[in-house]
Amino acid sequence: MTTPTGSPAWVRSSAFDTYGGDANKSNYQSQGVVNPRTDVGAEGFSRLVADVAALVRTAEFCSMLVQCDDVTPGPPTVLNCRLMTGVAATSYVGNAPPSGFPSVARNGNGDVSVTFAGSYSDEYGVAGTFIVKDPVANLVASSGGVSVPERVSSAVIRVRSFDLSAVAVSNAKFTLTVGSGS
Amino acid sequence: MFGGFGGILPLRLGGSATLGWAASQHARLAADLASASRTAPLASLTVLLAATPAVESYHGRNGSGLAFAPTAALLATGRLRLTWPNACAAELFLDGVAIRFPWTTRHVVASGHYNAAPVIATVAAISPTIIDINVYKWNGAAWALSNERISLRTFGDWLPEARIGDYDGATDKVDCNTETEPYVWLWYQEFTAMLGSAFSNAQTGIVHAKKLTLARFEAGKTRAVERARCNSVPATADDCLEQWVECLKVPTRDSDQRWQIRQRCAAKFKGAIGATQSNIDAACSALLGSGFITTIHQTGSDLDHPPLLTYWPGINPGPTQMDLGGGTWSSERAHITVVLVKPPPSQLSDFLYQSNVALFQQLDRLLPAKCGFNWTTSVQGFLLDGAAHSDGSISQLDFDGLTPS
Repeated sequence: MTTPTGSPAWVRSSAFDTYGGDANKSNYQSQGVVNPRTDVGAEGFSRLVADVAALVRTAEFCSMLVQCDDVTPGPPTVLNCRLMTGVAATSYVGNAPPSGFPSVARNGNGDVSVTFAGSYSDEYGVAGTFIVKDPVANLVASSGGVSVPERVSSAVIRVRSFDLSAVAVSNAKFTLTVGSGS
Repeated sequence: MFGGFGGILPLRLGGSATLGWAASQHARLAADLASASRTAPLASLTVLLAATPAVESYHGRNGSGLAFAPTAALLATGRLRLTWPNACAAELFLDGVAIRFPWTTRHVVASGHYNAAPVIATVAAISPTIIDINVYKWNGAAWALSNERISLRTFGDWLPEARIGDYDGATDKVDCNTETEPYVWLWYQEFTAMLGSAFSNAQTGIVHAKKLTLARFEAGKTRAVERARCNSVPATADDCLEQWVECLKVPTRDSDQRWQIRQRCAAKFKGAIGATQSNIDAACSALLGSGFITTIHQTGSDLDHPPLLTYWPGINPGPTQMDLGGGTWSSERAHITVVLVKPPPSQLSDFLYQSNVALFQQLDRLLPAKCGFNWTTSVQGFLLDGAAHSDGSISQLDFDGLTPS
């Protein structure tokens, strides 16, 4: 079983050398590629690891679409949820998330708390601490309004939705994207 | 192949799932990485506005941590200015020194953080290195500028747009069929056999070190021979590609990647064999790749019933607009129709260059000097010298369409 170097992507600590890059990477004996149709040379490899490291540092850990239920009232429905660790195949009720996906609890009209785990594992089984960073929320509505995130803790984000008069929006629908990192 | 004796750059694609990396797998990685890098954020950060604004969290393509963060300045209450350097160092190196690339922000998404009342962040202005953001908080009666916490994600350009060639990808990449076992390992086994049982076979100690040194030396020579052979034809040339470009007079642009130039050289080189039907097909296919559909050749030996658009003066006179003097002479047997498919709009400029410049020069070299070229389009795509009908014939309408006005 291979154990990858470094930490999972959501720790955002990887650099080019995590993926095998080196400032002085070169082909053996400083020769060019033998056959450009079959070979990957030092230059291509170096750009590859640099780009992967750059992407991993800014890629969002989570992107989700949430529909509040303020009529019943009941727990919100997560219509779509994409994590770095997997994509939910179907929507789910916020208080019964599939294993590995965040739960979403109702606090009030247009007001929910999204709770993540403190650690997630990648496909090699390597665990990495998850810390909520840089949440961005957007209200999905035909009329004006705003969804506002609040970082409650390293694993919890609270999102409230308001109309243009700062009145809570009932049955709000919003998107939330979440970064991560140390 | 990875690791041990043969795991040295350049990597030779192919091998087993456990020890190797297939060309098709590398191709998928190159394509996906190029795709992802086009849409991924440039930076993700959280800032607390105050008299001295504080960047609390920063993760950018240029690095993670506050050392890589932009400078934050408060222009007025609730008005924030973020300033990045004109250029940021990348994890790409020239002679061991990091290369700097211009930092260009194109657009931004932002959110204010709730603070006892809703907070809104709006982007007031964007320039390549400066973003101005206004932050409003509901004061009970209206939205008023206020110093609050905001998060934002920026999108834009930094390194040159990633393309598969940047990762040594190419549309004709294949598994290596020469060094299927690392040359070093084969030479090492050879030396082990030559030394016989009087010497240790353990992969430690001075005997192993000497065998390995010699094996790598010999493998380097073996690769050099293969490299020379590959450079002897343009389809597999890398070190000598520039010489092939010069020799074949292949058109190039600054935006061309090496694999595109190499394929263009290879296609033109096929012209040296002669203008056979199969060679023309192969050359067009090699040049145009997935954009090439087919060529249509007019054939047949029934001279009593020649194909449409066969004209000769006196017997079967043709239209006067096709008469260059002495009557109209025309035969579809002298036409080749190259049918191309129009790619997605994002690749259209490359396609038009290939069609208008590279293909014209290719056919000009392949076909007899008396041949002329022209092109037209139809809803099906991009056609050279006449539209393709289901039976392969060329209609009069297309000739009219090709007449310069």
